[in-house]
Amino acid sequence: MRVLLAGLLAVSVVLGVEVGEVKEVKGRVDILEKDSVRPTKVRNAGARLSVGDLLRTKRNGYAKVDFVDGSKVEVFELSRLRILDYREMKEVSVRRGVVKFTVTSMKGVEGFRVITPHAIIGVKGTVFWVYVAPGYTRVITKEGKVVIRHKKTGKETSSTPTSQTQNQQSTTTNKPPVSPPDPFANRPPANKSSIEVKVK
Amino acid sequence: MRGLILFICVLTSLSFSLSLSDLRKMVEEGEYEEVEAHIENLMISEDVSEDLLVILAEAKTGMGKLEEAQSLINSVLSKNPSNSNALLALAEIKSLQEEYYEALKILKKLPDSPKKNFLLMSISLNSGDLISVRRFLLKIPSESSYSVLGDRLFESVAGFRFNFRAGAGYDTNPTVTPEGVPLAKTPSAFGTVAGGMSYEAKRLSANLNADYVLYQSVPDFNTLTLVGETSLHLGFISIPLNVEYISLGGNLFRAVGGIGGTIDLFGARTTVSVGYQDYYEVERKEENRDGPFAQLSALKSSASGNIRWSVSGVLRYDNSAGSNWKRVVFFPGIAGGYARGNFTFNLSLGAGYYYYMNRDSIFGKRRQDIYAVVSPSINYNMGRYFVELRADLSQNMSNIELYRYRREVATLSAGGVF
Repeated sequence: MRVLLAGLLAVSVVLGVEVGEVKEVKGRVDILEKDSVRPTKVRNAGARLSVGDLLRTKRNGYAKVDFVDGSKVEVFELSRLRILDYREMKEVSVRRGVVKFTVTSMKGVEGFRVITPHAIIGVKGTVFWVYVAPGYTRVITKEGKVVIRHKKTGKETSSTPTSQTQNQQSTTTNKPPVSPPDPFANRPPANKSSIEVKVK
Repeated sequence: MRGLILFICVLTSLSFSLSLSDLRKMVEEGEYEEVEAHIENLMISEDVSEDLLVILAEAKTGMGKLEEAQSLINSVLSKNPSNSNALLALAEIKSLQEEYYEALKILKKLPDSPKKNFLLMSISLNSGDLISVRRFLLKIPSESSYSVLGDRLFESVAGFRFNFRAGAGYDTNPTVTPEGVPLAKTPSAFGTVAGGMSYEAKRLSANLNADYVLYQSVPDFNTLTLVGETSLHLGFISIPLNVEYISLGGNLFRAVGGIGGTIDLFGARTTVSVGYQDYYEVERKEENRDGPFAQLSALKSSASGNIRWSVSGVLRYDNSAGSNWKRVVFFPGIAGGYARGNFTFNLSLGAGYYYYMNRDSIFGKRRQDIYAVVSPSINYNMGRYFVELRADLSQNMSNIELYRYRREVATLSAGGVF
């Protein structure tokens, strides 16, 4: 059944048929088809998305999209989600904003990939958030595991529900002390009375 | 023919109907494609202004066309090197290229604006400097789209976190025994365990930590430390409040509480704080260390590529009840780190001058100490877990023999953040 679904998916993409449907929309949301400069405003649920389409949310905008394979995406305000591919490798890009992914894994089909300006995020059956801003990509995983490959260094890290990974390893740097150390804070210097006898 | 000419004129006039302010708003809202098409359409028939070229560059940046955007910005800056909008757009490109040091150099010279503070916030988010993240986020006017986006991004770091650490080490002088006195130092192996939780919100941060050190050779010196801190963030100023309690076994303890205010002054985070220290009871009143204190500290940090560094200075006055402990302290320090792969190599150095206001009741002279500490460490980061090897080498030099000592501590620890 899954193989059949995967086949139908491949065929639908080749034929330019939609791969996703907007299930919920709030505020200002539009869809820009590939190479077009005239967006289509999305006012109600039911709008379709194809490969190459760009979903854009404006201020106070929100959209929830269901894909043909059962994966779901929530696009929060001031965000951009483009569907790059949806054949064997399902690939979307997030260049700005906050997007939540709920990805279903399918046997025989490669996982889901999210491309940001700094990282390539590989997933297979998981729930995670992606936050993107200039110079910043952060992934927070709710379920499952994602693998993040940093574009500039090629380094790979993984993100699980109890860890949070961002595109640049934050360095653990010693800060100089901002309270002066107190050499005798916790103990007086031995027994002063016994020593004072000796000194005198 | 006339009709065709009229039709073209109408079309052209429609395309002129978008003002600079309209175009900037469209870029803020993410309508990059329309802005790009509009301005490139204008460029067919005429030379466009620098402002339009910069807005076009911003749109191309948003679409990921960084080379084209940079080329436009370079052409503007070659004619007008001080065009602040062009410099802001260049800073955004540098941030996207992860050239953070270059981006910061540009941003620091520019006047305040929502986009500037948003870019500074993004760069601070990347380095994990939440105090700066808040400071820049709270400076963005709430009506700006950058404020809305900033609030969303802050959610990626908000909430509760838990940390733990366990380790073992060796301490050459845990009892802080002075040199040159008829008492033997007692080096000791030790074990340490620590844990804590933190909470981060836009205007409030709080953390609570506990740390226990257990000495093999001197169990009387086993130490439990509890620290609670909370800060209220009001944009240009933060108000920290902290309480620290250290139990030293038996009836020995030390408790410290303080409150302050932190502002940014000439690029350094400057804190003024006051507090009170409560120590265990002592036999002689001159040794009573209870009393208020006041402190001024400044911290400046920066980073370039894989190298980070920070410099600090602390000036403190302890008005202890006992005459032997009233003092002024000046403590400058410097720290640096170099990251390579999963490793981070750190070094911090500090040297403090402690001047005691009154003559010591026993030794009859004003005590003056110089305390120096060097702390190198290597940290290996594995996502949420880490392993650290650290040394703390300290020496207190004093004009009173009783207060001179040396201490070396080596610790190997591992921990994690959840």
